[in-house]
Amino acid sequence: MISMNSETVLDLTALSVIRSLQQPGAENLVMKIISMFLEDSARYATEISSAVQNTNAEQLGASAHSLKSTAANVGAMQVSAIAARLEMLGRTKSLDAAAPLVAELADALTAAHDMLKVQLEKEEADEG
Amino acid sequence: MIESSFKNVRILVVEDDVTLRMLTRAALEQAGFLVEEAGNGQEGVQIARDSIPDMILLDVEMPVMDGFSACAEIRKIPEFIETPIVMMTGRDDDASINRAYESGATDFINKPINWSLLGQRVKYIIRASRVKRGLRVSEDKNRALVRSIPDSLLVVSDRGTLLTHHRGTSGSRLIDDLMEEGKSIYECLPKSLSDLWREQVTRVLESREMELSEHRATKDSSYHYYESRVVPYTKRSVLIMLRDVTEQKQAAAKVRRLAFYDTLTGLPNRQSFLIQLAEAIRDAEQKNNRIGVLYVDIDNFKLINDSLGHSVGDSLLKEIAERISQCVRREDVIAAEAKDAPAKTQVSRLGGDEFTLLLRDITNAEEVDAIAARLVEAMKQPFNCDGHRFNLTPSAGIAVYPDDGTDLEALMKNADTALHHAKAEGRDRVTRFSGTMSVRSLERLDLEDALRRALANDDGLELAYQPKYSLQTRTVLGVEALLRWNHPERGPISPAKFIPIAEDSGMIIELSDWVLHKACEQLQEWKGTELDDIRIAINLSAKQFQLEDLHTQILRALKSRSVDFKKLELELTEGALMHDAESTVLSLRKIKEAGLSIAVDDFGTGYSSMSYLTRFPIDALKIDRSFVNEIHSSEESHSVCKAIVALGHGLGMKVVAEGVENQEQLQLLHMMDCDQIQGFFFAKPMSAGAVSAFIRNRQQQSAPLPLANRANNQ
Repeated sequence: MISMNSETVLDLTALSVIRSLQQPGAENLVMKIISMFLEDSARYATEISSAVQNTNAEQLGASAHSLKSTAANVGAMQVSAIAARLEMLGRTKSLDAAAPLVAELADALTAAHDMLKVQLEKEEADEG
Repeated sequence: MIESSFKNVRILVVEDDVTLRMLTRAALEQAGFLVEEAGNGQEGVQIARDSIPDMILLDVEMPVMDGFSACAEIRKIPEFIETPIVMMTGRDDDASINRAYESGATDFINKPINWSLLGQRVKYIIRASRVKRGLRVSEDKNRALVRSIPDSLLVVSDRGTLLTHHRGTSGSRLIDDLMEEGKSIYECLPKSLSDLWREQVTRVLESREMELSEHRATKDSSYHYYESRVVPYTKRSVLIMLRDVTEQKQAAAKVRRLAFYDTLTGLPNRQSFLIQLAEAIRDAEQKNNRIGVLYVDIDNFKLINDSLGHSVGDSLLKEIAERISQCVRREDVIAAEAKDAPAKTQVSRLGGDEFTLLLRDITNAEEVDAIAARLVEAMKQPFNCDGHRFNLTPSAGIAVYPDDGTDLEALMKNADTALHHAKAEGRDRVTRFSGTMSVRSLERLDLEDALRRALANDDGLELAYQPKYSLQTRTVLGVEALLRWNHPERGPISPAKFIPIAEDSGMIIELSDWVLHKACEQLQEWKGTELDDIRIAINLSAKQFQLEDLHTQILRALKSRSVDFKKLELELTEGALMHDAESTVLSLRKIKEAGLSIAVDDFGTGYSSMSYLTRFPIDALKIDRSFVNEIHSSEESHSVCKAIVALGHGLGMKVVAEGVENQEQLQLLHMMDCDQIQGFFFAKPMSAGAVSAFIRNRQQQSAPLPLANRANNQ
């Protein structure tokens, strides 16, 4: 199934763009964004998984939509792409096809989280 | 580097995703904007309403209220009519993009957002919105401008199609109503205007320069004047501004009328006469023609105003103006028939009762005389006006170009001089200017004129009487009558001034008749009273001898008078006697035979021929005042006085001293045996009433002048 996802797990250029938005003296934006993503994406994943289980198409569409864009922001392109497909399924109320994608999302999210945590550590090291 | 034009620009970011909101804020702050945040649509509407941001970035999908509804809500707030609202939509979500525009969004930004470009994108949107706003403001201004101008504005294509039509407020309806948008103006408008505009449109599109024209539109009996300006509008269309200028035209015409026409009579005024005359002179110069300038005024018009008031005077002036105009029209017809060409006679009113006629294209000066004579005749027909009947006489003066002057000033001055002459010669006549006239001053003519009126109306002329005192009888024997003239405007005029004028004009005869009559009246009044014996001496002028035989004049004047001529004495100067002395001797003899006595005035200053002196029937010599004045201070004068007394007595004449001013003079004259004295020392000239009282007083008091005994002093 992984073969279906040609997108990279983590596009580092996204983070460098965020870094470029850093205002001098302000809180480290990259770290903040990554931390928030780690938290939010886990919540969206849970919402998606329960929406599929409860066949709540609307909830699926909304949560997948949020995950799609927030993932894109940090460069988690694989997560974003899977979320986009889930969003579409939610919109079209095709919940049957959603279950395998939920598993796929979990894998992709784990991969993205791992890589982002490394980035977070790097940032912390640079800060220190 | 923050662009100063974006400083303090506040942007509201409405986004439920915290991460996105944070990144958006970071990106916008980096670009220099101030950022506010809202977590959903409803919150966004609330914050927008409270803080009025300059721009709003709206997410589409949000809890509580989505972006479309929020956008629509915000647009309803008056402050946000022009505020850019940008929706953040998915890249491939066409449906959302369409809905965004339908909700009133200004633009959209694709998600995922390209953070590094967001700032530029927002700046671009703000700039565009500012430009749009500027355009809207400028358009509003233009619209206000167009609304406020009175002109109708037409945008017309190169083929003449009316593309837009703004009807002005000035009411160019006569033209506006004919046209319709989308149709060819050339097919709708009258041919003259259509042709004019067609040419102008073609030229303007070529030259790119404005063309201005004026035209008149008539409907029924009303008409309007329009001014149009054709200017290039686009490459293939023009803007025509159409303005109703009827009022301006009428106002200008009114100003012209006031400036060049007399309001009372409607005739051209002095100003326009000057212009006409100047033009006539130029014209006559070229054609080698003559011009006649005729000044006409009504004799004694002032009396009408004075006695009947100005409103009657004004009505009469209108009638006079009308009659002159009629007369001129008739003359023009006559001239046109005679010369096969229209004559151009112009009448103007110079002011008061003074009118002018400008006769153009005349061949000889006599033509003007004839016209003037007919005009005068027409004016003499009675006028009925305001219940009054007027028999008027006009006087007229003529100057002819080039005979009597070749420039405007000379022609006007000479026509005026001629008019004054007509007046001075007794009014009711036409006088053509002649070169000799200008020698005599107008002031003199005016005096002559006034004197003639004084004589005719017996108004302002008076006799003053100065008593003569006899040193022998110590009583008043007679008085010398002295003519006084009180000019109605200028007050008393010295005889030294008006007598020569009367002499030059021949009026001296009438004047001396008047004096004779007055003196006779006075004698009549004294007749049978205690003043019965008082004699009156009258001065005669040398000039009147030259005009007519003296005795003829005197005896004619006295013909109807029933007075004792013995009480009349004539005073003549030596010069008067010696001029044609032979005929004077005869004249004086006849006068003498009639009973009058004769005295020689101012004796000693002229050239007397002793032989003639013996032949003249002279009763008295009056020693000139210049000798009397110096009798006590100059031995020569004293001798002359003494000699004159001796001469007079030797020839059997009485001797009278004039100008006696003091006691010393009186005493010396008395001692020389002078018969009578006259002068301020005894009495000044005085009015008839005063002199009567003076003489009566003298007779009653019989208080003689203080004189030392002559015998004792010798």
